[in-house]
Amino acid sequence: MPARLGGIWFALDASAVREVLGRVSVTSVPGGPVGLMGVIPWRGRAVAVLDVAPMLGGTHPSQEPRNRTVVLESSQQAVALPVDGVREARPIAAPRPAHAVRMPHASLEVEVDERVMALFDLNEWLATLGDAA
Amino acid sequence: MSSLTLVRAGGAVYALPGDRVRAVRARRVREAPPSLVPGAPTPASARVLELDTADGPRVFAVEPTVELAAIDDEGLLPLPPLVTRATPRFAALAAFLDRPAVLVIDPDQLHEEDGP
Repeated sequence: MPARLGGIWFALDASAVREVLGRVSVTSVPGGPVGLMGVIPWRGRAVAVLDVAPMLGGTHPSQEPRNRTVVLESSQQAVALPVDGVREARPIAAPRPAHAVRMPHASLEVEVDERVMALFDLNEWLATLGDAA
Repeated sequence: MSSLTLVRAGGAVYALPGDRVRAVRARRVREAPPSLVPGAPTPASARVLELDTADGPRVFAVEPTVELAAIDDEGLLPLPPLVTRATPRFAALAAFLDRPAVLVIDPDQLHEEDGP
């Protein structure tokens, strides 16, 4: 599923997407790991809200409200990613090793509507955050 | 149903289990309690929160606004491991129907070394 932050598109594994919410009010967590914006209530549990902006080059103002919040569930836990926009999920050709676009935690890339974008690896990112915590 | 005491510290609102709060009072002369949240500035015109903790009674500086709230136990949401590993002082997220969610502080995770 393509998602956009600022002018940068990246792809999320649609099988991990549980819901796309609108703009949400995030409760910040002082002392949390870098990349953790806070938590939100979602379906009877608290879900970590993570900031993708630093991975996209850090040019996007982190404090600016984002219109969409994608809730994903990995093998480890559910997380929410605030983004500026998403497009409908669609089948794609097999991902290939990242070459045209570079982004941390995205070793693969996909082509959607003739646009090449990094395929974000949520599990890898969560493992990194877990180590940092 | 649980009772919570809502206090403001470092510009944000936090909840504490109501039965662990001994008192909220004016700060005494020469009393310099730490902020409830490490790294947050200690409010100059602080009130003092007297709290029962695992280390015994302790005092923390909080801002003047203090509220009481009741919440159904279903509204106390467990935090994800990513958060609890990094910040064990937070026990849950209190999700209210009529106000923004707030973090619930576990008094037993407030230790002496947590001062500013």
